Amino acid sequence: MLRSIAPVSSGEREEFRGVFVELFPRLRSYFRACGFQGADADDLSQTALWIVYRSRGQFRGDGDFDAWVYSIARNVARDEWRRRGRAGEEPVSEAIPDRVPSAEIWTTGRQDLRRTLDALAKLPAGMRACLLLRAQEGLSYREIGRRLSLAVPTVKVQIWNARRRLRSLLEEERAP
Amino acid sequence: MTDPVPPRPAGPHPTAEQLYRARRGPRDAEAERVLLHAAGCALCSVEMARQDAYDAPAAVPAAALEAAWERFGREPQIRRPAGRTAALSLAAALAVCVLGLGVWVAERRSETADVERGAPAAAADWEPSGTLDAPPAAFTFPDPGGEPRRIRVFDAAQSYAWTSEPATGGRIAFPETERRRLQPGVEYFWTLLDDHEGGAARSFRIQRRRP
Repeated sequence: MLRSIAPVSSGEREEFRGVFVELFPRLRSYFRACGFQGADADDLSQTALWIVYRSRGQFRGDGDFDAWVYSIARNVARDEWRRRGRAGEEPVSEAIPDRVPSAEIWTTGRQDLRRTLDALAKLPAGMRACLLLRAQEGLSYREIGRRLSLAVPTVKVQIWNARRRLRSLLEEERAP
Repeated sequence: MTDPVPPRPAGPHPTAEQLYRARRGPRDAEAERVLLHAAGCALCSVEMARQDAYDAPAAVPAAALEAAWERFGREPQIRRPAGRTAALSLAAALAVCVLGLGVWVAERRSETADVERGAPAAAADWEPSGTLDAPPAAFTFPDPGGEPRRIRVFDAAQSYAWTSEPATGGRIAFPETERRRLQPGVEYFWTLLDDHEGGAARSFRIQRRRP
């Protein structure tokens, strides 16, 4: 069986090169942060870029291109999680209410809670995610590491640093 | 020592797109609400960490980026269900064992037949090509000149490549060790080195076993 292995014309493909060079590192970084390692992250980046390439006519010029590509990448990651039977690792199930009821902080004005949230918001997202996955979700260090593509010792250090910085921020807030 | 961490916030999570806009866009009331929710929500913090990775990627070496670009659009972009990898590997290993036994038996019969007939077996046309049930045991090609020839087997991603030793007779055996390295579903190409036909490649793919 003789066949061409280039499904698109070289001219069309070449026009996309600049976009590819810009997006490939970002997508690879994203997929690695999703827990896909090595060649898997590269393969998923190729898949996402292929979808971007094939769907580029659907992008509205006035929209946020980065956000559009991000949504494609997220769908690719979600499909892969589902294929692997790891759908529970999708971090946000859109518009699904949280299972845990608690005070409605936006209207009750609970100052302590608000101060804590303000302090948490100042932590880097990755560090905060480690702390909250441990404290709120009760996940093991190993599971946190798997979800965030971090080694277990790194997870421990991140949580330790998060606690220390959080306390420090709260003490600064309380100081006269 | 108790963590000063609040319980998960009530109410629906913002969508990933809302989170993305809130992180990057103007800090209006909607963005404040979304970011405050995320500050106290493990799941949204994970999403934000991934968005950080997307917005601030690690540099990719130029050679790796070039290799990725060369690969882009030049191979099937559909991914294999990874959950079946173990089952596929097992099926492939069994297929290799069965095929190996079959080849061994066939070769013994062939040797006996050759002795009886006193003539070498004629090489077939270009094989393998198309979809196969198992990795090929040999590559055959027309060999009118009887010169030693080599072949190269590779995939589009260049993640697999093998070059044979020179052989005559229009048949080159594919070692068992190499056969084990081929993956079901991946398209492999093979070509005669120094081919006078202009380096045309034949391709084959090992069929995936459905569970």
